[in-house]
Amino acid sequence: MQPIIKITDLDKFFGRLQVLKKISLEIYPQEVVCIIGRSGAGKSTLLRCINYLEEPSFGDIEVDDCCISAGIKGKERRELIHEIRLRTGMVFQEFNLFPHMSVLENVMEGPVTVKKMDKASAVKIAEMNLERVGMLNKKNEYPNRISGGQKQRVAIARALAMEPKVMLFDEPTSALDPELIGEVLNVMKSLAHEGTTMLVVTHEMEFARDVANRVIVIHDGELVEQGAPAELFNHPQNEHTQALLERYRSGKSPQPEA
Amino acid sequence: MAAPKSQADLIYELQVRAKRRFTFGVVISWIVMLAVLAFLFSSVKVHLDGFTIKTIHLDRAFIQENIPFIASGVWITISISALSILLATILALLAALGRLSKFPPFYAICTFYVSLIRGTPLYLQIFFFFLALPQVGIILPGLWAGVLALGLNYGAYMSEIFRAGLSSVGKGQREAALAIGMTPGQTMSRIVIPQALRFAIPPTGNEFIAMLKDSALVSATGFVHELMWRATKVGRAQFHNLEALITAAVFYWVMTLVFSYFQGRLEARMSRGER
Repeated sequence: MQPIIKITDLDKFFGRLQVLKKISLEIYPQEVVCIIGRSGAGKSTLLRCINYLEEPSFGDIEVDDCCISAGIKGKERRELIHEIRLRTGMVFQEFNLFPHMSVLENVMEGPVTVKKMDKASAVKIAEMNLERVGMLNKKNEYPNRISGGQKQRVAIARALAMEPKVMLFDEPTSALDPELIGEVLNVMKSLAHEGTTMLVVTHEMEFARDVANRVIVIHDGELVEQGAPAELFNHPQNEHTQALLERYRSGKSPQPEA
Repeated sequence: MAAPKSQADLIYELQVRAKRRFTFGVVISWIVMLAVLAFLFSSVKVHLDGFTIKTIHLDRAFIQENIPFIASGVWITISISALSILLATILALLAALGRLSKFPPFYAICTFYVSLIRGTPLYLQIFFFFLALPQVGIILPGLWAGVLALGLNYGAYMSEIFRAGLSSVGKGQREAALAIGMTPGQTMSRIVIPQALRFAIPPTGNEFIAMLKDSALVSATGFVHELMWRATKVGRAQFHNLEALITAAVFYWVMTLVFSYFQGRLEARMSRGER
């Protein structure tokens, strides 16, 4: 089977600091893959390199037959980045809804501005995706009038409206009050059940264990271990994975056992 | 019998009353100061214990006679200011975008422009457009030379306002727009600039009020017959500078009061509905 995302030998430097070291990774259709690791391990940077919000220093990123190698310049680079961004939907830790647009307009923005879709069709698509995340009843509100959890659900709908091949989640619940985390995770679970391909950077071990098909552990910019959650959580092989899981078991998980 | 008031009601009432008392005090003080000012120019003789104090005498007949002439400059002053602020806004936005640009010539042009304008006096710039340009064969109609000089000058200063506006829009906004596939141009025009303008509109109103007064500098060239030019013309001709300047000052003051009022309402409206 063809992978949807194929990362080959990805290196990323911030100045002289190397934050990603020779990462290679493949994500297959309908997979839900969670990336875990300590803060500052490079998880978010890895995710952001996939749609070129961070520029990889070396290596290739391939998303659904569209391949871009680090160092490409000029028009070709712009076009390839655009193609990759059309194929990926991104959800941010801080939601980043557009505050000057209503909920509905936020979700319509991509189809109208990027895909040049006519208003009526865009409204239809936006309403359908707001329905998927349970936010259709708030479509005329402005972002400052809804809760963090609701904002994040709208942000998910905004990404879905572009009909991406894969959804990238960058710590989608880390900025939320504890009581609002559940509603966002539930939306993500239902997307997973619908067969959406998802790559999720998260600290939610529960979610990783229950929803992911595969869990990847990043430590100091290196991919140190990956595997099915049952296997990885019960029999971690790598010492860093063991240390990471130990810390969560000792009660530092943001969402302890229900 | 009225329903008994809760403690919260009483406290709130006290707060409202304190606020009202303050506003009332301010208004009364203003009226007193205006009365004192009016008295100073009332040409009244006051006898006090053998001393005779005479307040300043204004020639009312002169004022009445010349008010229409001076007042007809109000419209020109407002036109110059409005056209100049329009030009300044466009230049300021371009210069602010330039400061964020990664294209060296664009960045350089914008910083060069801001440096040149801020490094020379406004008064000199105005004379440059009226007196220096004709020497090389460029003769602009008076109004346009004034608008160009004021617009260029204010544009350079206002570029800082717009730069602050653009940088007030978080990096996340840009990233969210890029992530759904918008081009950098679309990101600017659809996401960043609308939010930056919301931030920049109230201070731009302030600049307009400042412009109303700086437009008086244009009168020095003698080619634009706005408020200040008219006041000095009739004042000098009949040696009634005192009356003429006071008349013009009243017009300027009333104009700024009116625009400040709208500016304040605009600011209040803009600050609501922020995220």
